Amino acid sequence: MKNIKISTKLFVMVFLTSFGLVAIGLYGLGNLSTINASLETVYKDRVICLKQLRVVSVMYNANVLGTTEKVRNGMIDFKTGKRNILKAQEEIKNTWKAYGATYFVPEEKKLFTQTDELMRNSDEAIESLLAIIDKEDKEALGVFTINELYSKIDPITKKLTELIDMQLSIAEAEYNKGQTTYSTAKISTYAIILSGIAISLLISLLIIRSIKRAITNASVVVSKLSEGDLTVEINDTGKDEIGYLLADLKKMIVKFKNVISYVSNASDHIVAASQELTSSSQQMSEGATEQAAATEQVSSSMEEMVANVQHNTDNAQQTEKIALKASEDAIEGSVAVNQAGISMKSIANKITIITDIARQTNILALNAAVEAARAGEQGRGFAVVAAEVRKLAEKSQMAAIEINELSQSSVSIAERSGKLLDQIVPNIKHTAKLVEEISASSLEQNLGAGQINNALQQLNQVTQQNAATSEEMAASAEELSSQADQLKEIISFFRFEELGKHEIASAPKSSYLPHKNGSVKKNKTAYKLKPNGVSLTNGVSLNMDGLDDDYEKF
Amino acid sequence: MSMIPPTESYLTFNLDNELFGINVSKVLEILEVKPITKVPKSPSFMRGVINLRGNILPVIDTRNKFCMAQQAFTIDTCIIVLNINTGKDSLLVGALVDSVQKVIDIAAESIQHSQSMGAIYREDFIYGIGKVAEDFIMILDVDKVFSAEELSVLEADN
Repeated sequence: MKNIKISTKLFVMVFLTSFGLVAIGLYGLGNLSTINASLETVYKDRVICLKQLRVVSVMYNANVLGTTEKVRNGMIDFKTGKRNILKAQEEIKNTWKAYGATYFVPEEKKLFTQTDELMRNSDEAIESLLAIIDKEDKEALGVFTINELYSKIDPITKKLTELIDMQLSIAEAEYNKGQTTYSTAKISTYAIILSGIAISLLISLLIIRSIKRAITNASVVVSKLSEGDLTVEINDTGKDEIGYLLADLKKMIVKFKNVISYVSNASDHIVAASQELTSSSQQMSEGATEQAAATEQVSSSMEEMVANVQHNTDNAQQTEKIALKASEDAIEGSVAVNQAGISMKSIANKITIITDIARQTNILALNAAVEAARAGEQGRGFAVVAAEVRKLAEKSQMAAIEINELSQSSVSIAERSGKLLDQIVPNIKHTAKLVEEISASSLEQNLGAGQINNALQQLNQVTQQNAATSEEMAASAEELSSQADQLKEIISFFRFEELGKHEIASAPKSSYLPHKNGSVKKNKTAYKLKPNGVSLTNGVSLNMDGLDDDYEKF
Repeated sequence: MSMIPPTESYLTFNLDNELFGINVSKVLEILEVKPITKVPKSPSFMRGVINLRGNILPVIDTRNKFCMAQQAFTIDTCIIVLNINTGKDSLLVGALVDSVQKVIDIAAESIQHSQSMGAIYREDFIYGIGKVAEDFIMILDVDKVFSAEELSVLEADN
């Protein structure tokens, strides 16, 4: 019984009941058709026959005999009488023929044959009658009627009466038969109905009992589960739907145990982790505060640096101007020195002339001295003058040579100065360019320092935000810790062997129920703040809601 | 005047950093060096001839004559026009010198006739060595500087 599915059981139950109903119906229909058949034969073979037999009898008596009598008495003329008789004869013939086509019982058949023979005999008498009527002989008619006609028709009437009686008796027999059938059918129908009800009831009871037993087993398990008792054991599961349900419940309990032990462990971990998180975030907060202080220091240093860089920029710009000025001056100096060199060269050229003159003077003086010496005593005075002239010439020559040397050295110095100045000019220009670059760099540095300063201020803000956030985080972590504690308390509602917390699990539900609303509200608010941290708690508490509903129902 | 010791005037000049002197009685004049016309097939000591106021004056390369190294003319190079006594008559020649110094008087007693000088120069045309202050002046006897053949060549030029 256990291994048959509930659907099969219910199907069997309905099928058996329907089968009984069908059997009863079929049986009743069979009886009805039997009664219907007897009714049909009563009507067709008996009632109609009765009418036909009566018509035949009436025709013989009223139309044939009656008309003959009327004609004999002179109530109607011969022609009308003949017509009536022919009409009656036709009617008798047709009716009799119809009657002959109906169903006969054996005695009826025998009687029909006898009557038919009598009727054929009467036909000859009727033919004779018609011949007499044609002759319109009243006397012959009277004689024939009394002697022949009555003797022929009376037996027919007698036989017809017998036939009518027979029809009645057969109908009665049919009625009796129908009655018998009805009473038998009534009794057996009652019997079948009663037995069908009994069998259906029995089977339904059996089926209902088996289903109810299975459901009761399942409901015991479910009610234990609803009390959080995960230690419930499901051994005999069977092969029906409830069995499958129990098997699934068994699986569910195993999964529940896993999930709850996991959740319990997880909540332990969460408690520990949230405590760590609290301390870490406090540390972080302190760190962020220190960072903010450091950032402010850096910021002030940066401002000083910006001022220095600005100063450097100004100096560099001034230096650039000075260097450019120096470069121009150097160019001018170079030009001046070159001019000086040229002047020196012209001086040297001029000095050469003086040198030549001095040399020529010297030679002239020597010639004069020679002449004076050759003149002897007379030339002595002239010789002195010549010697003085020669000395002057020599001095001029020496001076000219000195000037020449000086001018030469001046020229070389001027040329060297010019070269040096020419060398200095590009150097100064290069310096000016470098200083310009320095100036530009300083400007960029200035900008960069400004940007750094902004960045530092942003950093400062961020750091302060971080400090605030980490404080919030510490608060959140504490909240999380308390949530995890609550979660643990909630989870302890479940009992199972692994944790051995039967004592805690047996805590009364009344102590749990008041907590429910509060905890759910908290979770909802907490969920908005920290979507990741509390989703687990939230999910579990929702499960709790479902179980709580079960509690209230039981 | 008779109390004054006998002195002679000498024209001093430089040759190869040495100081020489010539008696002014032999000197006609001093010329600045000027373009010298070379004479073909002339002796090596004869540099060429110049035009001295219409007369041809043979110019002697004194450095060559005195076996000194050849040197290009400088601005101080001069030609001393000398009157040489050949024995029969006199002859004008120009002597190339590095530079002419001055005319000085040297007492006859301060001229030393040293034989040892002949080791460097031909003794026959060195008259003596005069000492003036710290300098030594080699005094030349210009009449003996040129041999008879040389003089004949020079005369032919004249």
